[in-house]
Amino acid sequence: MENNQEIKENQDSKNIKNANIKKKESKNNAKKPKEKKPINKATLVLSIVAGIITLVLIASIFVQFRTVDESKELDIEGLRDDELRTQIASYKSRYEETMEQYNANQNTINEYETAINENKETTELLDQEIEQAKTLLGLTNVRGSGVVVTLTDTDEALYTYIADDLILLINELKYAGAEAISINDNRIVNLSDIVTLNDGLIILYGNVRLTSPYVVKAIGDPTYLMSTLSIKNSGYIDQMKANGMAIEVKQDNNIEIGAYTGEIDNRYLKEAE
Amino acid sequence: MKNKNAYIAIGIVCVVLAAAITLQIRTMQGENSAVSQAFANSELKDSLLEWKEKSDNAEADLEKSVERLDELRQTSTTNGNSSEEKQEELKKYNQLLGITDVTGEGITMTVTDSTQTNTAVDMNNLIVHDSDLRSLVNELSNAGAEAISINDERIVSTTAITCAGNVILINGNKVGSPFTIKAIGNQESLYGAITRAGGYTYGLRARSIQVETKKSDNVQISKYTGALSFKYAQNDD
Repeated sequence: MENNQEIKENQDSKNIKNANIKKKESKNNAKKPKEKKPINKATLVLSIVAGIITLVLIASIFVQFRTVDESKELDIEGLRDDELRTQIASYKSRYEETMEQYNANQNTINEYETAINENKETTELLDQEIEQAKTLLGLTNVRGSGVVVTLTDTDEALYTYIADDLILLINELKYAGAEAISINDNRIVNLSDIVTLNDGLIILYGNVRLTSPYVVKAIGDPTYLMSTLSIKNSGYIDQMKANGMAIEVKQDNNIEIGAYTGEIDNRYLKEAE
Repeated sequence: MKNKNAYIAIGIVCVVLAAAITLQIRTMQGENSAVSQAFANSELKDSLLEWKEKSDNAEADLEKSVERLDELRQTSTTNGNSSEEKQEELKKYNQLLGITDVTGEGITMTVTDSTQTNTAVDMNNLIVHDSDLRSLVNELSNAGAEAISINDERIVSTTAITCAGNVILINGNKVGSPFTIKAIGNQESLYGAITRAGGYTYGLRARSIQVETKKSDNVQISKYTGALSFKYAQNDD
């Protein structure tokens, strides 16, 4: 940007000089006509041609700089086609997600506005919003279609299941769009943690002790959940089987997952201004 | 004579011009030059700029709708204490869901790929993996973090941290080293969990990955910009 400005300034000063030269010429022209007319005409044509060429040049240089600058601004100057496509896809999905949330908000706004216009009680709407937030947080019992994954420790396995295996499974399920997850009927909520104690002999979830078999339930699109887990070689099922671990996955159209029973608190959170 | 001088001057200008244009074209033809690429895939770039603008506008719209909603909630429930309590409750839930910007005490970590160039070391050990980020989120959660973000991607209940090729995706968005991990919660517990001997960052440092941890009284974590909604899970009473 600074460069550009300097160039601009340079060009501005050039322009001024040009203008000065032209002024001088025209003054000369005004004086000279009495003496020699034909030569003056030729000089005039020449200077006009030179002026036009200079203008075109300056304009093209400007265009050039502008183009490069615009690309730099977004840091996309040196990107290859596939990288550009990935970024386009990511902006697209961001746009779609944002619009989905925006539309949901608009609906709620409309409901509030109608309620206010008709002088109705709006605490009901607030209750609705609270209920929805609680559902999303995992504070209500939910039911729906999904998959049930059962992990069992066996003597044939290379090792017994550890916390990392459960964390990876939860991550895979979320990636596949799981809306609610539980392990041995303990609801998994945001920022819940699973740790291994004593080198894998005990797995703790919050204050709850988890033991094999680990029954992991997930509600979401059953087909998508299933296919994500069963991707050949790199999928979760094949990864576990490669270590001789016992794993069983089945689809279920009626999974029940209970509410989170622990405390979730915002003791340290303050609303940003 | 004057005429001759002018012609010479014009001639020189023309030569310089021609040379400049030739140079310009030659540069543009150079296959790896940034300028040539800028022109070659300008269509994709246009499309990228267009989608970026669309997405930015949508986010601005969303911002406005959130403000409007807050306004409506306030004007519609000015009567009575119970509704005030409910508004507080809703605010709390939205903070915990990750759909509002929050501040508070906590820690900020920077985790950077190793700069070591020793070829004898397994390259895999020198870079930060998606599993490392998952483990760090787990550690911070265990220490009572109430909000976490990695490179400004808020960790929410649907967040997956995965890798595609050599790229790490969080909430479907690309993130890369250096990773800035922010967590709000009890400062001492968070700091202790991260810096403790034998803790996860110990293992990272052993792989010569750079980890910096700072306490802060004013950690700012921005909200999740995607949508949170259930399509398959129904409330069951």
